[in-house]
Amino acid sequence: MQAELSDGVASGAFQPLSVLQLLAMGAEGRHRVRANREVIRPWLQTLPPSLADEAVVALDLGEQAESLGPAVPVVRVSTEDASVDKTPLKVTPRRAANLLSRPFHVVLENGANDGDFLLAFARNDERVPLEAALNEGWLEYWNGGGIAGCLARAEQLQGSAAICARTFVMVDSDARSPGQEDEAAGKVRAALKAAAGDWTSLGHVLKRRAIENYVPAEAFASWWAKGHLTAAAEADAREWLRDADETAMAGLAGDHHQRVWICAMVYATVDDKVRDHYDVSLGRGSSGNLRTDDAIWNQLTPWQQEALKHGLGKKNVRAFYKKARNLGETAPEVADIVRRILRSL
Amino acid sequence: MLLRQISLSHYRCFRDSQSIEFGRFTLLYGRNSAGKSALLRLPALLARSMSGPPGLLVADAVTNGASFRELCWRGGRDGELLGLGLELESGRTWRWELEWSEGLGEGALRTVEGPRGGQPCAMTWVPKRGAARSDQRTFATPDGEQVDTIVSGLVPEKAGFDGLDELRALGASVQWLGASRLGPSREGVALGRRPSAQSAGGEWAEALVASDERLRERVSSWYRENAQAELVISAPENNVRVRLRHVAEASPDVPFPDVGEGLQQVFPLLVAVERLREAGGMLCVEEPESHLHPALQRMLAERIIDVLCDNPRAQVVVETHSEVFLYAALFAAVSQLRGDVAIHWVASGADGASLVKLVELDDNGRPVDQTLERAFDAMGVLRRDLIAERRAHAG
Repeated sequence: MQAELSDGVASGAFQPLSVLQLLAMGAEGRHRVRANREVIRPWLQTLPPSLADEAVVALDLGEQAESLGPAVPVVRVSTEDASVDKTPLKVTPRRAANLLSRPFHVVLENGANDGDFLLAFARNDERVPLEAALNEGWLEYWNGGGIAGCLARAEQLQGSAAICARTFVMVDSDARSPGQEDEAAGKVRAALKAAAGDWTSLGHVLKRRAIENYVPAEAFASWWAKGHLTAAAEADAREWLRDADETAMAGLAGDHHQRVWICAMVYATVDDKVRDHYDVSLGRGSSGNLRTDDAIWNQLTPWQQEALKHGLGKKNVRAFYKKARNLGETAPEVADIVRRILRSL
Repeated sequence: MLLRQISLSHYRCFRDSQSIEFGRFTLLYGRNSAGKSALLRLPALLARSMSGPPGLLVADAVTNGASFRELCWRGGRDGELLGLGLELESGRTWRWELEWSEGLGEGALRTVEGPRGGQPCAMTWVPKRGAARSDQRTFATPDGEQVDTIVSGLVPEKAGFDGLDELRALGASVQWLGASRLGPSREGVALGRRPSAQSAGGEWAEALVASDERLRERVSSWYRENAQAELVISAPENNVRVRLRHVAEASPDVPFPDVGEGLQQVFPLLVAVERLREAGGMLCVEEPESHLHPALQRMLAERIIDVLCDNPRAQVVVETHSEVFLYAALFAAVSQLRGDVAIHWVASGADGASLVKLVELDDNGRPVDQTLERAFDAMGVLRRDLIAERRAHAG
């Protein structure tokens, strides 16, 4: 965030301890702090030299970040709490320091797994500050324990611009078919819209069904083969793929590891509708609980259905995301979420 | 002629197919050895290869004398083709693929793709023995037509391609200046010498200035405004000498080798930039900021931007580490050169392959991500560390 000190605050005459707290966060590189240099200089000259030096570093860093970096959310720091519950926030130094010292919460259905997913899609140069922010506690994954928890959190945001400034909500659409977003996901979006007109700064409902539907299938297959298949087993599975047609389904024997690899390779070839709405974790599922809808499933040829019927396995995809790096090019939508979070920190 | 874009694959440290979009002012940033120079020199390499030995790239100073294999990603050992291409202002695009030829002991043109009858057409070289001329080649179109043509450099002269004049013109419109440049020599140059251009190291820049009064005045004005000195020309005996004279002091004229390194090295650059003002074309410069104080870096950047504003047919590409140039370019991106500034970040990946990324700017000319902010954080970190160390030292 960017804290912009009004002249009344920059003069050091109002809540100076909190202003120093803001400057300390600026010097750490956690937030940008901006002030009129002419106004703040006389006050800084009254401080111990090393403290004044640090304040100048904070201002230099803020100036550089604003000139070279992207636009970030702004809080105006003034001598009164003039705008607490609506943007742009205009608050006193004490309130601003309180707000900016809070961790930025990324609300996720599953804090650990969805967090690994986001890190996997960060570019290498974005991963470093994300991990640093996590380690420092400036960024926290908030575990919603499912979409219901995320919805509850999203509903709390309304009427609190300050909390909005420190929160981002991401949920699956759970859409089993195009345009068939799950009701709960729709409610999350509605809650975010109610909290802020420009709700995209507050959160994101994934366009595809779930985080698993963003797995770059060929990269997954390559990773899986390295960890689970001998060269002979991979060659065998590749042969099945090459010969696969409607009469060769029976050739796909029971080796679990080969089946996962084949599933990934076939998933890599399906069209966008299937890619986005197929249940990557569980495939078709049992007859009592069809995880992939008929509308999607019936677009597949029998041998594709055979290959995809068990899915990649939820744990396997999670394990892949934990290891994967720099996947942003494969899904600009997720890369953009990472970018939005980084801007808001 | 403006060059809109170049494309490459398996070139130097760039394995993957990618393209670099040019603005009128283009800056290449990145850490050392990321591949900035290789990219910067590519327009000149292509331009020079529009004429010359048939079907070959011109290997000279612009490639540091590298062999074809050395120009290829990891020596071309896996048999990949070196792919190079460009898009011109007219919208016409060209692409060439070259491969190692054991027979020639050189990299030879394998395919050429360009506009033919208004449509993109890719032709593949068909090796044939007994050609009447060494520059004669036969190419096959995708529908099997065989076309005999003369090849000049990478240009198939008589194969029915459109816009060959544009390609040939490219050869004369790209100027490359290396990182190490010479100012005027103590001895001067022979009277009456009028070269058409200076070399990549700045040789002959003084002769150009000596023979063109308007150019001399423009270059001199930069020294006058920023170094309180102006160019003076003397012609004792048969040589023309370019020296600096302080504008305020009654001091003797100073030979360039006796002035600061920055003022020497900027001389050929100023000459090249000022020549763009009239002639247009593309100037590619390595480290324009060499040895210059930040204040003079700013003045140089502003002079470049001034020339670009003056002549819409001019383009400048710089490879630099200068923050001053970055700020000047970002300023120009929201003012005089709105929409015409391109900043690229060149980075080497974990597998050694480099990638070029355009730093996207929003409507207000602000970067949309933190690439630049993070790339230039060293000074801030150093300042923080300095203060912490002072405190620790003070106990």
